[in-house]
Amino acid sequence: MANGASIQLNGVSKAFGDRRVLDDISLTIAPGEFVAVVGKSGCGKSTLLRLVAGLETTTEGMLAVSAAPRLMFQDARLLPWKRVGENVALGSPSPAATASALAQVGLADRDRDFPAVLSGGQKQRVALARALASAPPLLLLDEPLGALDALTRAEMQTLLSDLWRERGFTALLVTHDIEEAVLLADRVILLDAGRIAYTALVTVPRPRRRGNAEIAALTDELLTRILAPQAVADFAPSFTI
Amino acid sequence: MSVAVTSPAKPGDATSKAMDQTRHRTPGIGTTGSTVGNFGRALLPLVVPVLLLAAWQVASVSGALPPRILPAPLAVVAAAKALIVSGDLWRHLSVSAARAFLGLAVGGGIGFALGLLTGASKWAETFLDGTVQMLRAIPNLALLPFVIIWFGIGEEAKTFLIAFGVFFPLYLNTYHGIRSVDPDLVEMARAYGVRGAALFWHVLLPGATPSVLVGLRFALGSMWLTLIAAEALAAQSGIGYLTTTAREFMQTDVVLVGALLYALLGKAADTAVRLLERVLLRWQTARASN
Repeated sequence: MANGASIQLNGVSKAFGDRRVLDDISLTIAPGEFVAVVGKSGCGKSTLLRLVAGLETTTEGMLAVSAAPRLMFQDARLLPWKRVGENVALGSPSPAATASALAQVGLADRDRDFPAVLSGGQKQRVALARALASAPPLLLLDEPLGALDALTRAEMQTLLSDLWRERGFTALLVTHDIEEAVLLADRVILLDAGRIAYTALVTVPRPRRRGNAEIAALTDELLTRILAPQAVADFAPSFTI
Repeated sequence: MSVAVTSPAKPGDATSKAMDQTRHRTPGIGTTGSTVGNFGRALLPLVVPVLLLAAWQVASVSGALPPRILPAPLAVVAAAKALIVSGDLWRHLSVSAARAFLGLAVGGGIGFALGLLTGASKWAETFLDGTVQMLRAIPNLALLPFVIIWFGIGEEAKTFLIAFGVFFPLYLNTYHGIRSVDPDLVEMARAYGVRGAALFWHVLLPGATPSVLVGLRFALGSMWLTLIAAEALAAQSGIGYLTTTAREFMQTDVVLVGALLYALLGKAADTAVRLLERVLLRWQTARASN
């Protein structure tokens, strides 16, 4: 798709002092692709996203991003002293783009409200509108739905997926929710101790449904790989996540 | 004493009264009782002040409390009325208020500006904050002898004392306000291309505003105290002049009017800050009003 940016990482490493958080990562993301990065906490997935976002610099290797990205964080990070419309305007080129972005996330009538009166899900919708208002070629998502309740999260996943299919931007999603990764992405990358441990292609046609057998099987497989090697031995069937 | 504590409840004491009320709470009585209760509850806080005023007036009229110790409440009212009619009250009040707010504008303005500077710039903090923290330990009234040597006993001395007193609360709270702005919000704003002056106006300053207003409240407290001390020092006009002159003529009623005027000014300024908070911090109270 022509609307998306491409990302290229070649032997990228990142160290904080002596601690090597990312080790020799090579990865190419095509324009318009939806890639999810999963892994245990501390595996380096957030650092990878922050590198691509330009919030951190690489220690070694080559990183090329073909266009300026927009970001969504786990917390909405709305300016509490600005109304919803003004918050979206922060990422918007024009008032018309602000209004249409708010309409797309279903909050057209809330532009005069302060963030304090919104629910967690509504705040994330505003953050999504702010990120998409300038029609960016690349959207970076750092566990954006992690703090939401299950129902709101499912709703937001559908919204995100619909907007991505409609706009054709490139998306890089960091999440600890394996099922979410499989539901949304074309490709799921599993990071372990700063290295790419596994890559899964998701070929299930969209719209995808939670509970689809293929999705469930892939989610299971990825979970098993994440918990390997130390936990596989005592991985009992009754143990659910 | 011990007998009273251990003896069984008498009909008049609190416990048995409460028990009586529970026992007799029938629907009809309960309804009328609660209306009277609400009305009574609103008036209840006024009972003690009204009784005190009445006792004070009676003591004054009967001669038990001589006017040179404390004037009768009605005498104070009469003195206030005379001052209003002659126009003196308004004149002294406006002189004192102008004095106070000039000091606030000078000292508070400098404190606010320096607080912004040290809060926003690491370099300015290293360079200035230590010095300011050292000066903060000096109570402004301790500088009185110096102030008299430097400025004499005129208006400059009063402005300086007030400015020195209000500088620190505004400086400290502005500095901490800027420092306590959520770094995640700053990171987000930078990622959206908000930098430099725009970052200051749209993120840092509004984020620091709640703390700055707390500083302003503290500054007002310091401002009135310093004003009273400065006006007692020497003044040709103002509430301090009014009370000092009145004291020399033993006009205790006018002295008391002066004290009430200070209270009035303090209350008015506090109300003004509350209104300012309501306007500037509307985004904080939005949840409550929704």
